[in-house]
Amino acid sequence: MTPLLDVADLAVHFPVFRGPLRRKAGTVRAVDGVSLQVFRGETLALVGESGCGKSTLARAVLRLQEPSAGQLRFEGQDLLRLDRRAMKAARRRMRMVFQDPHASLNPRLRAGEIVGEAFDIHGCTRRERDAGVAELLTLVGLGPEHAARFPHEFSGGQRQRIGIARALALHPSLVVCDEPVSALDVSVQAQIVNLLMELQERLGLSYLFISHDLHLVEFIADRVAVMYLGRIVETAPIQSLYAAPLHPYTQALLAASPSIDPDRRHQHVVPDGEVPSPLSPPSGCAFHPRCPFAIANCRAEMPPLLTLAPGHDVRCWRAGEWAAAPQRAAIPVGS
Amino acid sequence: MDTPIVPEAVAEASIAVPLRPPGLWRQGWYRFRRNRGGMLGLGLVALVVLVALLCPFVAPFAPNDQSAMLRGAARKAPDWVHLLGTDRNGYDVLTRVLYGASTALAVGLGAMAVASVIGVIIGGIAGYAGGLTDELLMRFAEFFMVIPVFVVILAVVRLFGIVVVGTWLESIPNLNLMTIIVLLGCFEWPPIARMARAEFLRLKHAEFVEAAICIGTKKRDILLRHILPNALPSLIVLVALGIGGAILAETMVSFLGFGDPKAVSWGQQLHFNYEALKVAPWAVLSPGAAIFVTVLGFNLLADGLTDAFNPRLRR
Repeated sequence: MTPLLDVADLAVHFPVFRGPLRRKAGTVRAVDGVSLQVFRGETLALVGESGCGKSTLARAVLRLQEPSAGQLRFEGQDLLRLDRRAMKAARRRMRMVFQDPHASLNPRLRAGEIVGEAFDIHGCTRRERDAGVAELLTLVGLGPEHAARFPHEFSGGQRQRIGIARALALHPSLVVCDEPVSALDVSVQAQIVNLLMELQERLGLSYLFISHDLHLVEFIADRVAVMYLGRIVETAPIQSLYAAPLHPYTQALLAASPSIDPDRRHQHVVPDGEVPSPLSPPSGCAFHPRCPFAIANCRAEMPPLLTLAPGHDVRCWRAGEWAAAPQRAAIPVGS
Repeated sequence: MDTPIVPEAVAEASIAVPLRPPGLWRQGWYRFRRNRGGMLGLGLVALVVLVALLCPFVAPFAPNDQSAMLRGAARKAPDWVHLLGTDRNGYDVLTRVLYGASTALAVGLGAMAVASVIGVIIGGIAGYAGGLTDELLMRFAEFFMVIPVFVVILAVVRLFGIVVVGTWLESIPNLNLMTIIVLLGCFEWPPIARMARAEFLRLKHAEFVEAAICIGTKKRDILLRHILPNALPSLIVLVALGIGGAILAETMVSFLGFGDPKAVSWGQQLHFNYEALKVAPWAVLSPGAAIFVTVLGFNLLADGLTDAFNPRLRR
């Protein structure tokens, strides 16, 4: 099965200029050689700390940010080679739901105009647009009567519903959700997540779901990709990632998120120190300065993405050991 | 056939009002209303606008009526016929002051309209395109900021007045005044361009603009539909401030005798009467007060608008 979205070795580098002469002082490798696939109808969650390049990757996928290198295939087309007209056509099929519903809606446009903009751009008649707007607003749990209101007349959750309705106009196949609920109240978060899942089922959508909330990811995702410092360190189906995380970073992330299930309480392998600067990433495995299990080889060489089980890839030299010994308690933890 | 159903309309109005929180403009108006200085400015500006609109009906004499001169009543002190007296040319001072309001407003609004168009286009392109374009356009704007406007206006008005003699341009009424308006506009735009650049720079990375790009919105719509309307509140403040400045600039040009001889301008009244300040002070004081009130009004209005639209700037 060909994936709906196929990202191959994608890189987004930002040159950094310093000093009065604006000399190039280095390069921030926000996204550095990321490969991932999103299949039809599935949800791929992308998790990682803030600053690891999740959002940059999402923006690059939608070409809000031009990638520096790599390939981007969507529905079989090479997105980076499309001319303007073909790109406009492709934009009908891929959309984004933004993090902050207060910033992502133009305060000067009415809800109906915001949701209906896509219809205007892609050559629909007025009548088609009005019908589409009414349908979409109903679909996301609002009503057609809300079309005449301005964004400031809605609550945060309602605004995010408008953002979702805008993203669903004209039946896209891929929706990139960039932390769609992290700016909302907890009580509203659940409603929006349920709405997203319900819409996925009804419309056969695929989600690239960016989040730092592991509980949420476990609830919504089919597969998870863990990102650290611009690279994917582990990709796995949801069950195997939560049952047996293989990369020490994933283990640390899972350990850091509190659980009410006593069986699921992992030993604390909280990495000390800060995320290294992406301006000068560490040699070898980028995680080695914070990794309690680092060996000499980790400092010297970047591990490749190893496939240890079907669909379960890990970027760790010692992943073989972890896979062989699933009981993590046996491994000494420096605490 | 539509029969108005009163109970429903009443019910809807009474429910709809508390349900709808105020929008950006209305919020600004709420804040503005509580600003005493701003409201005073609005009142003064409203007064000037009213005078400009109504002057043909309220003015006791025609603006070009010099008949007092023939009666030997020039430089006459205020009395019941000439409420503010007459000046040395025999004009009724009150009439000239009232008619001057429309000239002042034409200068202020005209110059700022020209400046806004140039400023928003140049600043908008600079902010949105960025990079070298931005750098070049902003240096261009700074170039205009350091040129002494006054000298340029005086020179151009004089030269232009000579050049047009004998051409069709001569038939345009108030050509000199229009030249001054356009020139003022051509030199008042840099502050507007700077503000427009800052706003476009800020807004082009706003999430709602990225959302529009995601949908496939054309660049023209991004600029005109998404960015420009959100940049307007900050720009309006500058325009209000600039109107006062432009009026003052025209007054100065006219005071020096380079204004439009056919227009009724406060600056010109000063020009013709300042020598008789001790003999007939009323001919100078009235237009002076009119200038003061108008410019003060626009400055207070601009201050009030700043507080209303950028409330975070205070404190």
